[in-house]
Amino acid sequence: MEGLLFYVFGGLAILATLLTISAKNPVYSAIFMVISFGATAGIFVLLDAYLIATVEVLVYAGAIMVLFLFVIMLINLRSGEQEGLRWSPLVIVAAGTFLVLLGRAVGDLGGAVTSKPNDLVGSPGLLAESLFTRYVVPFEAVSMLLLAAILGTVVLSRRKEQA
Amino acid sequence: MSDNLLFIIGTNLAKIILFTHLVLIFAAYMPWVERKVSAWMQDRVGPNRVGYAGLLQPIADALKFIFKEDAIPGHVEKVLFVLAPAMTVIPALLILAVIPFAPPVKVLGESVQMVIADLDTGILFVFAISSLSVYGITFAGWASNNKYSLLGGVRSSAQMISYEVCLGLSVVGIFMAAQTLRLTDIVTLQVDGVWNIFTQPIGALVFIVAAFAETNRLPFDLPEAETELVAGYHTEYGSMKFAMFFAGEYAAMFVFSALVAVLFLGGWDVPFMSNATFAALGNWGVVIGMLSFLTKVCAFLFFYVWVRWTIPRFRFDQLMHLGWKVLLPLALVNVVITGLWNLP
Repeated sequence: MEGLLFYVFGGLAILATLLTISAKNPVYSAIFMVISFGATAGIFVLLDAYLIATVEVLVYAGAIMVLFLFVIMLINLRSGEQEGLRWSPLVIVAAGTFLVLLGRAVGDLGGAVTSKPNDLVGSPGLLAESLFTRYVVPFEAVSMLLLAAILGTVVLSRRKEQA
Repeated sequence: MSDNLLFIIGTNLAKIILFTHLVLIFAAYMPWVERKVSAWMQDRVGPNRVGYAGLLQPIADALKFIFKEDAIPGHVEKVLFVLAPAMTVIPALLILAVIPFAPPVKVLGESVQMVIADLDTGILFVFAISSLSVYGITFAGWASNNKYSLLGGVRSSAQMISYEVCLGLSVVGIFMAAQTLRLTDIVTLQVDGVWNIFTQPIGALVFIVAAFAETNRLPFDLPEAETELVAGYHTEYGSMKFAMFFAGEYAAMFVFSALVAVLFLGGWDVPFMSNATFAALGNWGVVIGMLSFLTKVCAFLFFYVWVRWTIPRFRFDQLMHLGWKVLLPLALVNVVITGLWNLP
């Protein structure tokens, strides 16, 4: 049952991602991306990582993609038809590099992964404990970085004060 | 928990059927309640033609909607135009999965939780799904291919993102005190202790205001402000598709009322009863608990209607000001106060 569901969610994720990059209309691209996030969340549920699945939907599908959509709808209302997938040399180089790296990563795993990860990923309590004790310094450093990025965006996008 | 597969499937199916139908009946009768209450507040009679006191009005309305021509205007994006109404109903029904309706019931000697999925991440699941409900309205606005609809859709996405932040932060205080995200645990803690509305008054206030904004109810119904946007995102919709937007709105109202009851009003708690009393009463305790829970939900649904016919609509800049500059700092202050209060 779980194996079957894995292929359903995995297939859906791959299909939706392919449609994301090949759809002619950016709004549909965004929708397929939401579906892809949903399918990824499904795979996390199969791994008993309910927290990560929930956060995936909450943060990516629920917040980030809504913002994307918001921008897409505001910027190109009707002239939104794009050319779809194009094959430039740069794309091929990037895709090739990614495939090589992916191959190395899969090779490092040494065969199929059969065991599930421990409870750490599934339980909010344990995750919070490791975030706020063992990894507290990296965690705070990342949040400082994000804060700096947000401040930078605010400063850059501010209109010039009129004299 | 039983290991009998048939037993698990049976009880879960029964719960799903019971709870979803409960919500759908509420969603069908809310328009009648809304019209009756508004009539009462404005010294009118309200619907009184179909059945006793107009009680069959929802059925008449549904029949009318079904028999109307299901027209799709020529200038719309067909796929999304048809999907959008359904996408406003589905999230509301999905959230239902984690709401505990009553204390655990005894079936064939086994204890069964009166919640469809007693998730570890409980309330996070609620926020994840409710954050998806913005898509229905946004797509409806975009697919209608009409400037007023689009404005309504864009407004709703801005509004819902802004108020989701407040909604999420307002309940952080509860989890800091309860040290769990599981909704059944939060209720059992309240049954033996004090209702969260007394320990978290600021959180409750922020949550309730944000809940109004999340369900697009007056005074926050800017996505469909008829004085400026015709009818906002559902301008181009008719017949059953239009009715589905209404069903979605009322189902979402039920779900948020249920959340207010669970998070702040003690869920199935009755004053002066403890978990032990509920357990001693057996399945009668379940009935009492469920009635108590539904009473709280109805009271809050009435509050929804009451506010709608009392407070006028906000301007959009006022809405954003309230969300980001008033509610968000309030929610943060609440988190800090709760943290200091619960210092070990």
